[in-house]
Amino acid sequence: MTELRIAIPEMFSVDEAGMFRDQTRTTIEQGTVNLLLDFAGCRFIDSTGLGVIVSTYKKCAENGGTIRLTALHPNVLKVFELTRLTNVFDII
Amino acid sequence: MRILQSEVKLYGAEHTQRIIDGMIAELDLHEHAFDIRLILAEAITNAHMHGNGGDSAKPILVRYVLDAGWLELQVEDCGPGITGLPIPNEISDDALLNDRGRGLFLIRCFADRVEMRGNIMCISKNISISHTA
Repeated sequence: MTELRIAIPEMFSVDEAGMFRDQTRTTIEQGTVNLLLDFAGCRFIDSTGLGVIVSTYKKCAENGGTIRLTALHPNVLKVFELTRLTNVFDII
Repeated sequence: MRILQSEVKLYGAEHTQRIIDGMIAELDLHEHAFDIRLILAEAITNAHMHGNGGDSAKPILVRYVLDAGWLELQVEDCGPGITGLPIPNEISDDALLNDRGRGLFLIRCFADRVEMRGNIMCISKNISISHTA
């Protein structure tokens, strides 16, 4: 299984999330459907960012792939926990 | 007791992070920066998308007061206002994979009080409690 590592921006909010959505959509459409989202440099995420991660996950799943998340800062992880997305994503 | 208060106006959600940065610095609330940033980002996004219908020509007013360990925030849009704003207590299984619908829930999680008064979202956060995250 080929897995592409993608770095999440430091501030994963409205502007950055839109660009990320467009870039990953292209990546998935080109056939890369297993993604490792690297949060090591990410210090903030809001519901817009979460929505983009969820839509990316669904797009990967539709195409037979999946996404994994890694290196989440405690505050960022807390947002995933509160919204119960830790039940959805494989976080390593 | 020193009371700090101010008001800023923005159009759309484009400069949200810069305005939040300035507010956190002005009030010296770096210890609570993540929580305040999330609360305000969600409230401003909500005001822009729902209150102002995504129209960046319509202003959003953000007022903040820091007094006696409480941060009081008001985010006002140009909409007709709403009473009884439905804020979910949790994200249900059915909504787990929705692309939207988490913003108000997150405000509730990170603030102590939130309510809609007409077209103004009023949010209170106790910042006297030390935050180690």
